[in-house]
Amino acid sequence: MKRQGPKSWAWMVVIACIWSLVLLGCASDTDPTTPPDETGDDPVQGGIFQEAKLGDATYINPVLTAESVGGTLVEYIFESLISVDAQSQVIPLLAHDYQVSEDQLTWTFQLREDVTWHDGEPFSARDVKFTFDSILHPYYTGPLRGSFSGLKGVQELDGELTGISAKMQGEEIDDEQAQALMMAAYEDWLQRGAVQTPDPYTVVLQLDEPFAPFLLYCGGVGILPEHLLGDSQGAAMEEHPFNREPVGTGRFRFKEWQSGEYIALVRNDDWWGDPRPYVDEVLIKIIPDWNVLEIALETGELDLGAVQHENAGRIEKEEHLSLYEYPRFTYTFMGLNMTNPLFQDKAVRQAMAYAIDQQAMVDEIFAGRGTVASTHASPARWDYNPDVKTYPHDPDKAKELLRQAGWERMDDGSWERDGQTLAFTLYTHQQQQREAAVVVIQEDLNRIGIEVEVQILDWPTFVGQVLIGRQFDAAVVAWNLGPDPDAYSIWHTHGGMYNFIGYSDERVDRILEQARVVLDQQTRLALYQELQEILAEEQPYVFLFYPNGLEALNQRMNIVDAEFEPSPAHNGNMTWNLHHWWIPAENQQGPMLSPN
Amino acid sequence: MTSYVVRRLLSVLPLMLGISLMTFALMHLAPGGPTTVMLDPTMRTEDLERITRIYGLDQSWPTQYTHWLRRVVTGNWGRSFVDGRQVTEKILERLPNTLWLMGLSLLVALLVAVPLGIISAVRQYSITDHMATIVALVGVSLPSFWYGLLLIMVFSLHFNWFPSHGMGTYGVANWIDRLRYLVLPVGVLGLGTLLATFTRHIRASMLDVIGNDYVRTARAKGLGERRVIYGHALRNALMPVVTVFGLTIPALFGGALIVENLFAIPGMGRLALQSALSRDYNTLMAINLVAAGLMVGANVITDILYVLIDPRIRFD
Amino acid sequence: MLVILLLITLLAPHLTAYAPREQNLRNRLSPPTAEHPLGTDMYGRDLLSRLLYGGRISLAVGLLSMIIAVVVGTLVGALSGYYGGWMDHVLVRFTEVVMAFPLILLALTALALVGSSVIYLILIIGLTAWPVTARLVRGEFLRLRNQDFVQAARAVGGGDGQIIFRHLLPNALGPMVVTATLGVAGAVLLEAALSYLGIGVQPPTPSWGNILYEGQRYLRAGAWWYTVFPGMTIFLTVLSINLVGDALRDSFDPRQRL
Repeated sequence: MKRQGPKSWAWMVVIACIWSLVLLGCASDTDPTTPPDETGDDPVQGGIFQEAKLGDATYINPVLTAESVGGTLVEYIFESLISVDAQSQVIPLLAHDYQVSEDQLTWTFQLREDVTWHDGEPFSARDVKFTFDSILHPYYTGPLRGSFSGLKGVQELDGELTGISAKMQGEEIDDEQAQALMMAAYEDWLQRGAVQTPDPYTVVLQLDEPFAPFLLYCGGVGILPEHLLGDSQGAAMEEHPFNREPVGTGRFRFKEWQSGEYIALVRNDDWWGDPRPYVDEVLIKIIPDWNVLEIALETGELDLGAVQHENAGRIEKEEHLSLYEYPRFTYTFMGLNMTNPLFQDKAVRQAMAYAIDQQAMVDEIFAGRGTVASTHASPARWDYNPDVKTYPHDPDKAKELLRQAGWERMDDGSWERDGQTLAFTLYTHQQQQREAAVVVIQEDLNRIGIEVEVQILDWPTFVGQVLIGRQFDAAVVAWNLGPDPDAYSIWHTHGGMYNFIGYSDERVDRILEQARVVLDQQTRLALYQELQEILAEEQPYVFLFYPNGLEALNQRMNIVDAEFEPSPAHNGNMTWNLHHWWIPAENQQGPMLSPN
Repeated sequence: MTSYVVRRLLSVLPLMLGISLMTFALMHLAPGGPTTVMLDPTMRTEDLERITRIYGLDQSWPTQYTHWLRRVVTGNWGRSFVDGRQVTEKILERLPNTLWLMGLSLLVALLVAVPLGIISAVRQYSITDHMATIVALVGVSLPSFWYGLLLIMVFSLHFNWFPSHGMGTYGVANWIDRLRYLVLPVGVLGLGTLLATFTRHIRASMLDVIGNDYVRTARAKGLGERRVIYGHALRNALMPVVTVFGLTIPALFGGALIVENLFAIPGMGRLALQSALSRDYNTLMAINLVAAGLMVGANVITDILYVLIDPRIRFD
Repeated sequence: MLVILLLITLLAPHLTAYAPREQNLRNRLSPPTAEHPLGTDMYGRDLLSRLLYGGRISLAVGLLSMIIAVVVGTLVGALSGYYGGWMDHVLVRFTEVVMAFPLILLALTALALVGSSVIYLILIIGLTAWPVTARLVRGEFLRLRNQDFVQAARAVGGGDGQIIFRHLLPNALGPMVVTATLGVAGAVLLEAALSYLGIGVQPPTPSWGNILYEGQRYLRAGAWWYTVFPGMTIFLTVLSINLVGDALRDSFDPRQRL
């Protein structure tokens, strides 16, 4: 730097420092903008309820959407035969009643007769049949097909389709022939009458064998209008404009979708249910930046939004916001690849469970907003077994276990047995909590001499490499469980893609098979609790924690009357009974910026 | 003149062909190729097979390229893998937002940079000159997502002057409201790198011009300083700036990408990010194509404007 | 100043008592103290040592990618400026094509295709940032090509390679150094921007960009040091690189000061 270099340089630094301090100084003390509301007496109509999501929806179509934003919208706009409440107990929706035959193979649903679609057409059993048939269409592209494998003849249909596509891959037949064959197989299946509509308000479903989770699996699917989509099954449905201007039977009607900006819904004044929603409109804003989303909650630009655990404390102090913290059906774990000889040794798995300080992880990294997990379960679901084996942090015990199993500590601190070193690569995908968990695990295991290399992948790569390709040693990921405790696909030897660690245990297989065919909740409870005990003992995953849901609600919303409780089974954990929420008249102008 | 414009427009054709080739190569020469890119957890192997055939991915790449080019030219850009919509539709609904953001930022940057550049040049080595240097340097040296967040914390959270995110108040459709939402994003995008680049160039070319003979002549004729500067020097000094204009557009688009993500503006940049993260191969390809096309378009327009403004350039 | 910065990051292990990976969850998010002069991060790691080690990555990304860019750019520019004719035509078109793509969009696309790693990041920035150098070198070559000393060298039987490397390149070096310097600053900022978008250097490998982005999450929770120090580090580094670039520009072309 020449002549006046050093001088102007120093000057600039000073200015820059002052400037950033000024900015930070301004930012550090804030005042609430919206005053807490007066608690009104009776619910009133009116106002716009505004919530935020980090990403946009893909499809607003109950059989196509595979992400939670679309799923939340489906819950507002569409209805399924039955649903569940905050305790995961079944409640009637489009079906006011249902029966199951003695052999548990025939399910009969009686539908409400007072339901109309948002365009005025009457709802009937044909719509239900259409929806279920669509999911079994050979060219169906959505995620629900697996839930329907229990329907009569579906196993055979799947076998036939696989055979046809194998022929196509082997160039024995061309695409057109394959398509014709597939459609013929599907037509045959339709003829077998797995889904029947004896009258316009009755649906009868036939199963191949008893299947306990069936009620929630198929009863929970939002029903589509046949009169709008009748000619668009299979791949055509994916491209149908309906997915962007959906017509349902639910509490809210679709109004407008500005891609990437917001989705607006209005109250359905013709809804059959009670109470009708109080708010005039629901506005789902898309805000991709976490910080900005939280700031919008603080400024009062939003009614409801998720909060990061590190900022929950700050949000709690805001006078105009209420923080809701609730258990969910999610648990985070480190899955261990069972084909790796290292992890076939139970001592290694248990030693890692002792070496990893899950409590510190929850307390420090997640600010105590969660619970330590030691098995496959959720404290929020009825099958939860609180008395399974736990692994309190104990590095000495971990080392002891390894020693007992014949591992030897080398001079450099690592462990060896039969020439094999105890070291592996740990994968996870880009998600803040899981990235943090991986970093803590790496350090905890390193402290007892297990060297861990960390790889953080983006989601598509992670799915391809770890979940499908199974090219991994260990991986931190989370399951989002459903309201039914069936865990066949995750733990059964023949579970398929979700058993990505390749777990196989005869006891577990037997329990999973039994629990699928009994309907009695007490019997199932006993079976699933036994499953949880076995998994806690075996640690095929090193179970890590149950993260809590964290959402902030603007106090102008009145949800007291609803005896409100967040529901872990819904996509909109907080808004599952949004139709009970109301905004006192004096607050209906907000939330907005106060002009000052 | 007309022949120049025609020639300039024609010169775009090989450029666009190159751009399309590069976009295509980008996608197809990646390790694993587009099939792994399209991998989706719910996809069965037979679906993968079907897609491979539909997109002709089992053919040689020159064949694939010509097929793809034919589809692109005829307006059939395919569908997004994420939501099954036409890619063109997805891009067209995002394009105006990005153009607004970029246009306003350019405008604001120019409005600040022109006087700043002139004053810096006229009063070379004065306090104002140094201040302008500092502003320019600070602007190019800060990560925009970082000071963008600080701006939101100060002006939205603390003072409550401007909204923290979005494109307008829901249900309110007027310009004042929309502009209020654009103040912070445009502030971040326009007063950062862009301002610095413009100020730098205007100052340099102004200094250049002031030293020229005709300015000296004007001064010698006894014209007032103001008339010398604004009447003679400025017009000539702005010429080179026009060329810079075209060159800043790609960087501006990159900046817009960050700003759109921070301020929740549904523009092309955010679509690009979402498509990249979800491996939405068709959309990503189309965005690359459209973005590069825009840059070329901007360059052509600046070139033509340049010729129109500057009498010294002949077109033969 | 920059030399010091480089030295500091290279000597990182000797300057700090903590390993960048060493955690102490019980002492997380600690404000600056005597033990941790810049405070600690979300895992209780020493922020100073994180920044020092992160600097290695960030500066490596900046420097190595610019070396690639300068080499490629020089090659393209030299060939095109020296030989002219159809080669010039093709190469200029090619340069224009690459220039038309916004750098960040190209990086985004490429990283989405091949995944993100430090090596890819360097390659991608390097292979997309070269057109500036190429244009510059071409311009210089066109200007110098017909000057006397080049003609003289050719007259005494100098080969093309000799003329390019002995006579032309040294004369074009000045402006090249300026662009390269400014390019390093741009690459450091780009790395930070890509971290913000989630496709930069992946943790737990520290880089200035990902530390800054991590710290930003804790800014509103009161951990100002976690974002101010990385922010200021990037800012001051980029600023000083830019100042050096300007000073160099001054010495090569006094008229263009600013």
